[in-house]
Amino acid sequence: MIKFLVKRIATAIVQIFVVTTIVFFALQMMPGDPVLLMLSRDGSAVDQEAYDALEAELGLDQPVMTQYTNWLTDLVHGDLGTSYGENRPVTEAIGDRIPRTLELAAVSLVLACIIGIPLGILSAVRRGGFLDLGLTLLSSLGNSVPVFVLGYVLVLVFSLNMKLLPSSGYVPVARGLDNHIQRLILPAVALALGVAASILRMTRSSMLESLGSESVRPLRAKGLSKGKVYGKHVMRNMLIPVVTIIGLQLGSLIAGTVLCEAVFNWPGIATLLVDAINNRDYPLIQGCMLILSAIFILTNMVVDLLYGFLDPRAR
Amino acid sequence: MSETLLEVKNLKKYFPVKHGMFSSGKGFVHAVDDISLSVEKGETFGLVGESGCGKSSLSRVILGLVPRDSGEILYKGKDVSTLDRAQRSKMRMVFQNPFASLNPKERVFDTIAEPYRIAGGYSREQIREEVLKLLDLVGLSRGYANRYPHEFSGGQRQRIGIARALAMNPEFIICDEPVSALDVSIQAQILNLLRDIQKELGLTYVFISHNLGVVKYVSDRIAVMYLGKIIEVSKAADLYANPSHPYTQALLSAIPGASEYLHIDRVLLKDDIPSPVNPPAGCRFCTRCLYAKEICSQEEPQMQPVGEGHYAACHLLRKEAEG
Amino acid sequence: MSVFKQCLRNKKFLISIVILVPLLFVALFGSLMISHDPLEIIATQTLQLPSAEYPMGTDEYGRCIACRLIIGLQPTMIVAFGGALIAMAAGTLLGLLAGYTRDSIGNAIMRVVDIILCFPSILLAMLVVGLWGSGVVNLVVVVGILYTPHFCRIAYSSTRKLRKVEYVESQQLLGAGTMRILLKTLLPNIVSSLIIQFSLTVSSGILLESGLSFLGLGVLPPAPSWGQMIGDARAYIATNGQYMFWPSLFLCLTILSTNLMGDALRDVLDPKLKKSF
Repeated sequence: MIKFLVKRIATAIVQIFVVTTIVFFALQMMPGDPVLLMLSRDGSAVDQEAYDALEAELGLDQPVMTQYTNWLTDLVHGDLGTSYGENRPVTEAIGDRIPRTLELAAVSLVLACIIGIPLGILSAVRRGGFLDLGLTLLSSLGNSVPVFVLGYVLVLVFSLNMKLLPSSGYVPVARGLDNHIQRLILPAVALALGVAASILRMTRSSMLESLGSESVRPLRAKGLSKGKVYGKHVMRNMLIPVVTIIGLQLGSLIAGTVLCEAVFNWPGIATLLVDAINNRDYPLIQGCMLILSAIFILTNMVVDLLYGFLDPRAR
Repeated sequence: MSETLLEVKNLKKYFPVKHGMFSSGKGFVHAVDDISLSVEKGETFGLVGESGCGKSSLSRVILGLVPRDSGEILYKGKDVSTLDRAQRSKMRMVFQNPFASLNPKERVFDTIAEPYRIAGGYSREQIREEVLKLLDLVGLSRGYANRYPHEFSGGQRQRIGIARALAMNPEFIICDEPVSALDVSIQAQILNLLRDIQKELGLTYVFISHNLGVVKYVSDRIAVMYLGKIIEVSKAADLYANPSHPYTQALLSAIPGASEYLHIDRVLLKDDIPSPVNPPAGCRFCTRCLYAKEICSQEEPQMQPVGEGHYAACHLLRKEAEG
Repeated sequence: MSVFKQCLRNKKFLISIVILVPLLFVALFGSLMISHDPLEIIATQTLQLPSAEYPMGTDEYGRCIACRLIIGLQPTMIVAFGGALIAMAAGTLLGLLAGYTRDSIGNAIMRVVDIILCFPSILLAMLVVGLWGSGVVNLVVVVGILYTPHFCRIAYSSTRKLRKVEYVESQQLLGAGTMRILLKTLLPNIVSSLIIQFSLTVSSGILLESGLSFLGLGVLPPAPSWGQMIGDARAYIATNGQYMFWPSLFLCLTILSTNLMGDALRDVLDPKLKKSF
C-alpha cells in the first residue's frame, strides 16, 4: 500500500512538472506579441524605446531557456509573475478567484452525489418498474442537456417566472450569508444535474452487478434479510465503481464550471481565464492553466488512492 | 532416415522475471537450457514433458517467434536466421489451442489463403485453387470456406489450422500439442490425419505433447524434457521398452495400465516440479529422484549412450556401466 | 444474428437513427434548403416571433433563426465527426503500435499520449483556440488531439491482450509485416470497442464545440453555430424566449441521439455489458 501511495504521488508530481513545461512552451509558440499588445491595443505604431523598455522589464528579451528557468525558480517560490492586464501578481488574482470556483464545484459534486446515488440505488432495487424506467429516461436526458442550456432553463423558471432566486452574480459571504447562498443555488444545481445523471447510471449498473454477483446471491439464499444484504454487502461492492465514476466526472465538472461561471456571471477562475485569453495576458493564462491542471491532477490522484484503498487489486 | 533436416546445438533461452519496479533482484526462467537435438528428414520427433518444462518455448525459439539467447539452430545445415523467406516458409507450426489460433474475424478461406497473400505473387485464381485443394486434403467440405471459425467444432478448427500450416508446401512442421485441447474421440482423427498427410507429402514433424500415449502413437523418436533440458532421447519403441532415466520411468509408469504391458512398477514422484526460475543444482531431477545420490546434487550429468541411438543424462547410469 | 439486424431491433438505435439521419442530411445539404441568407442583416425586423416567412422568428439582427440553425449545424458536425475521425485514426494507430511493440517503446508512447489527459479537456481547447484562433479547422484539430488518448488506451489494452494470442503468432510465423498484423489481424478484433468510443467522442465533440462557441471561442461570427446562437440569445431570454429555445432544443436532441447511439452500439457490440444498462 505504501509503495502504491509513493508511486502514485510521484506520478502526480511528474505530471504537474510536465504540464508546467508544456504550458510555458505552448505560450512561447503562440502567435501574437504581448509587448506590442500591451503598448497599443489598436495596433497603432509603437515607440521602439518604450517597446524595448517594457520587453526588458517583462524579461521577454532573454533567451527562452533563461526565461523558462527563471519562471521555474519563481514558481517554486510561489511567484507566478505579474498579470499584464490586472497589474497585480498572478497569485493574488488567482487567489481571489479560486475559492469561489472550488466552492461551486464542491457544492455541485456533493449535490450530485446526494441526488445521484440514492436515485441510482432506488432505480436498481425497483429494476424494471416504472420508477426505474422514468429515472433511466431522466438520466439519459440529463446527460444530453449541456450545462449552459440547463442553466438558462433554471434561470427562466426560478428567477424570471417564479422570481424565487436571483438570476446571476456573486455576493461574498461577508455581505450576507443568505444572499451568498441564494446566488449559489442555481449554478450549483445546473452543474450538479448533469453529473448526477452519470452517477445515477453508474450506481444503478454497479448495484445491479453486485446484486447478481456470486458473492451476494448466497447471502439471500442463506436467509439474510433483504435490508441486511443491501445495507452491508451490496453497498460495499458498489462503492468502488461509484468512486471511479465520480473521479471520471472531474473532467466534465471542470468543463461544466467554466461554462456555468459564464452563464451565471460567477466570478471564478474560469471567467478569469477567458478574460486572460482574450487579453493575451500570458502570465495570467499560465497561472490559471497551471492551477486548474494541478487541481485536476491532484484530485485524480486522490481518487486513485481512494480506489486503491477500497480495491486492493487496483494497487 | 539419413539426412538431418534440423539440428539444434546448445540452445539457450532465459526469460527475465521482473519482481516490480523498485526491487533490483532479477531472476530468469530457464525455459530452454542448453538443448541439443537433431531431427531426421521424414521422421516424427516426439517431445514429451510436464507442462511448464519448456516444450512450447523450445518450439517457438526454433521457429524464431522468440529470439534465442545463444546456441545454433541449423535447418538443412544453414542457420535459421540466415534463411530467406521462401526457405522459411518451409517451416510451419500447428498450434495447441484451435480456439485461439484462428482469427475470429476472418473467414476460413482468408485464414488459409493468408500464407499465399503474405508471400505474394499468386493470382486470385491460384490462391482459390490452392485453398480448396488444402480443404480437401484435411477433409473439410469446400462449402466451409466462407464461414467464420466460431461456426466450427474444435476438431474442425484444428483441421483448418493444419490446412493453413500446409499452405505453400512446407517440409517441416512443429505440432505444438495439436490434440491436447480436443475431445478424446476427436484426437485420434486428427492424429491419423497428421500421419496420412505426412505420408502423402513426405513431411517431417516435431510433435510436442505431454501425453505419452499420443507421442508413442505418432513418433519415430522421442525426447523427454525436464525443466528446460532434454534428459533422454531414444527410438520410440526402445524408450517404452527400456526407459533409462528415473524421470522417464516415472512418466511411463503413470500411464494407466502401464504395469501390465510395460512391466514396470508405479513410480510415485515426491513433491512438485521445482521452479524453473531457480532450478536445482546438479541434476535437475535430483530433488524428486528416488535414487538420488550425493553426486546428483553437485554435478550436472551429461548425455551418454545407453543403447543404439538411445541416450540419457543420469549419473546412476554411469555408475552402473562402471561398476 | 448479424450486427445490423441486432441494431434494427434495438429501440435506442432506432430512436437515435430517426433523429440523426435527418440531422446529417441537413448538415450535408442545408445550404440548399434555406430561403433566406443566414448572414443578411435586416434592421427593420429584429427579434420577430415565428411567422410564415420566418418559421422560428428572427434574431437581434433580423436574421432568420431557422436558416441560421440549418447552416449552424454544419460546423458542429464537421468538428464533432472530423475530430472524432482524426482521434480514432491517430489514437488507434498509436495504440496498436504501442501495444504490439516492445514494452519499453509501448510504455513511452503511452506516457506521451497520457500527457494530454493531464489537462482538463475544455481548458486545453480554450487555450489552443483562444490563442491560435478559432475557426472550424482549428476546432477539428483540437477535438482530434483531445480525444486521441481515449482511442489510444482502448487500442493499447486490447492489443496487449491479443499480441501473444496464437493467431497473431501464426501471422508472425508466416512472415507477415508489422503493419499487416496490426491492421489486418488485430484491428478487426478491436474495432467494436473503437466504434463505441467513436460515438461517445462525437457526442463529446458536439458538447465541446457548442461550449466553446457559447463562450465566444468557437466558430467565428457572423457564421452561425448553435452554441454561439445560445450565447447571443441569453440577452433576450426574458423578452424573446423562443430565440433561445430553438438552438437549445436542437442541440439537446442532437446530443441525446448520439448518446443513445453510443448506448445502442454498446448493447449490440459488447454483449458482456448488456445487462448493466
